[in-house]
Parts: sequence; C-alpha cells; structure tokens
Amino acid sequence: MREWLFRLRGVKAGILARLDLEVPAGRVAVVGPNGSGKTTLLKVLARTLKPAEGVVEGPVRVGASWQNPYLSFYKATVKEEVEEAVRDPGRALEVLMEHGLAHVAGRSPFTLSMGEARRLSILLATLWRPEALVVDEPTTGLGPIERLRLAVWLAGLGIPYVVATHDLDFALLASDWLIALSNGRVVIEGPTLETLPRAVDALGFPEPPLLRELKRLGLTSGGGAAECIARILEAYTR
Amino acid sequence: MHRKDTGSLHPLTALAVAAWGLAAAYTGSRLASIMLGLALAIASPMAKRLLLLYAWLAAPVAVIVGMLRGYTAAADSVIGVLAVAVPVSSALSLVPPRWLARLLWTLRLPPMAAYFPLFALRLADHLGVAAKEAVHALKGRGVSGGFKLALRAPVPVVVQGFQSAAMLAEALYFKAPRKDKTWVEKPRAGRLDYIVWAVLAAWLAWKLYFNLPPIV
Repeated sequence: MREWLFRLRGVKAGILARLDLEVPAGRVAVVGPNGSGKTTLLKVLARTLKPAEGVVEGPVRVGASWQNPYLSFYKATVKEEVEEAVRDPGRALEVLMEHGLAHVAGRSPFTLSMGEARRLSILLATLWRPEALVVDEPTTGLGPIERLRLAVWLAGLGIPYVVATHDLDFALLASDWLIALSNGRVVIEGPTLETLPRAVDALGFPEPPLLRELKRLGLTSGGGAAECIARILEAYTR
Repeated sequence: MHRKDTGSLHPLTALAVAAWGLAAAYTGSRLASIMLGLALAIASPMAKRLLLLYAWLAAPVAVIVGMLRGYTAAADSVIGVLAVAVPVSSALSLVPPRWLARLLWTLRLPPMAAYFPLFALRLADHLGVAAKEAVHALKGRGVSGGFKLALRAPVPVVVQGFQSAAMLAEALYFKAPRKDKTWVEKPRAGRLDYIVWAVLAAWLAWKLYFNLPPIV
C-alpha cells in the first residue's frame, strides 16, 4: 500500500460527485477528456475550491500553476519575480541559472514564450516551499521537444506533484501514478505504465505515440519500459 | 436580411426616455421616470444585470448619505440617482447597437461608439474571470492576504486584457476583413416604441391637466 499525499472522502465539488480518492505522494498524473473534472480536482487539492460536501485531507501549503501561466506574474522582470519569491536578491540569478532561465532574467515575464512562462510559473509555485504542487495542463502550447524537457525538469524538482493533462505521452514521462477521470468519477487508477494502456481503452483516447512504440518493442510493463522511459528522460536531461 | 426586433426600441424613443430621465432629476417626476425605466429594464434581455446595476448604484449612496444626513436624505438621493440611471440604461439597453450606430452615422459621429458598451460588457465578463484566475495563480505561488492579492492581481489581469484585445482585433480582422461589412442598420419603430410614446404622452397630459407636484 502506497503512502497517500491527499485523501478525498465523499468530495462533491462542481462535476466531482462524491469522490473517494487517495492520491499517493510522488509524481501523479490526472488524465481525462474535457469537462471530466481534472481542473476541479486540482482546485480542490490546492484549496482554492471548497467542496460542497466531503473531506480533503493532506497538505494545506500547496503550490499551483494553472492553465494560463501569465496570470502568475506581476513584476517588471523575471529576475524580480524570483527575487520576490526567494527574498534574496543574490540568489535569484543562481536559481534562474539552476533552472535554465538565466537567459530571460532581464525580460518582462509577460513577453516569455509559452514554454518559458510555464517553467517560470511552476518554478514560482515551488519557491515558497509548499508541501505539494499541482500543475494544470502544462503542455498546452508546447512543441514535442519542449514537452519532453518540461517532463524532465518537472520530475527533477524534487517535490510531490499532481499534474492534469490531456497529453498521454507527457503523463507517461512525467508520472509514475495515473488517475483517469470521466464525468467527475475515477475510471481507473494505478501505476502509470500498467494503467495507461487500459486508460486509453476506457477513455476511448487514441493511443499515444510513445506507448505505441513501447508496445512495438514489447515493453508495455515491468522494468523494460521504465528503463526505456528513464533513458529517454536521461537523453533529454543532457 | 433583417432580423425581426420585436423587443427592441427605436433610438429616438430611447433618447426621449433618456431625456425624460435626465430632465426628471431637475424638474421632479422622478418616481414616474423610475417606474417606466423599471418596466423597460424588465423587458430588456439584460434584466438581471440591469437590476444588479441599480442595486450596486443605490446601496453605497444610501449608506453614505444615510450616515451623513439621515434616512430621509438618503432615500431622496437614491431616488435622484435612480431617476436618471434607470430610464437611461434600460432604454439604451433595448436599442440594437447597429441601429444606434446608424443614428450616430447620420449625425456624423463615429458609429463604432455604439458598440463600446457591448465591448465594455464583454471585457467586464472576461476580466471578472481573469481576476478570479489571477487570484488563484497568485495564491499558488504563495501570495496570501487580501491586501497583497488586491495590490498584485490587477497587474496580470490588465496585461491579459491588453493581450486579449490585441488577439481579438487580429481575429476579427481575419474573420471579417471586408470593408463593406454592415455595422449599421436603418432603425424601425415597433410595438414597444408606440407603448413608450403613449405612456410619455399620457403622463405629460395628466401632469399638465392636474398640475401635479414635481415628485409625481
């Protein structure tokens, strides 16, 4: 039995109808079609939406990056945004370098590309030392390489997170636990590698290219697939 | 092809009602002006918003004047504000923008001005949602406390407003690049206009005949 990070009991909020769910500590992805309740679930976990009924147990200090990353910004430059968050002018540039954003330090955050804005928004959500992180649709507006880089970067942040996404390849790379939602209910959940093929069938989604490739190589479960994904991630980390 | 606007008001009728509302503030007849305005507001497709707007206007006036000068003065001030706001806003809300645009165009005024209230309403909706999202986004990066949030949230919302306006302008340009697109339409008087003119005429005749005090 895995240790849980959040536990929801009989939660009723928006489309979520009396949801009972245990979200494990680690890298978790929530997938599902439009209107299935992914964002609502994240809002409940981030405590920005109070459920009409039910109980949410888990950390209260939850960092969040929502669909529109630009709404997280209010300073004149990227460096000032980070300075405000770390409360140490000397360390801001160090943090930006560490996360590959030093080249945009002097720019207005509102002029960043979607990929850079997304990373800055997620970075800012982690800098106040929350106990968990929720990230909503992080791959919107990103190209295939940027999605991979984001998955690698997110996994390296060292904080338990729950990411809601339509992108099943991203879910495969960025999570080790998968929750599939449909109409506000959990359709299927479990370890990502084992669960994703069943989730694809259950939700009627097209098979994601990475999963198709893993199947072609006969690596749909067990250590082989995990190793393959680890190698992909490693290749993009370099 | 013209759409049938059975619940619409001719711009001239709306201007007559608005003029009555403005005159009422000086000459009296404020309750009658509010009553006609409310009747039009209920007929308007924006009834709920209009009624909320009136409540939003009346409440602070009532509270502030009530605290400073007492209940009677507060009631008088609220009636004075509503006597102008109710008929003007409700009458103008019933005029299709392209009819108002035509009137402005006839008067050699910029016709797009007729669409400004519509744009303002759309922008208000958009900014309302963006403000809520901005507050969630700022809470997600650890900004807490009402004062801090109130100080910071307007920044991304305003920037987003400008960015949305630029995107909207581009989208509209590619959606309707024709120069000859019809933004104006000749207004036509309908049943509602005849009712409003009859009410105005009846009230005027009644007031003149009985020489009623200004408040009526």
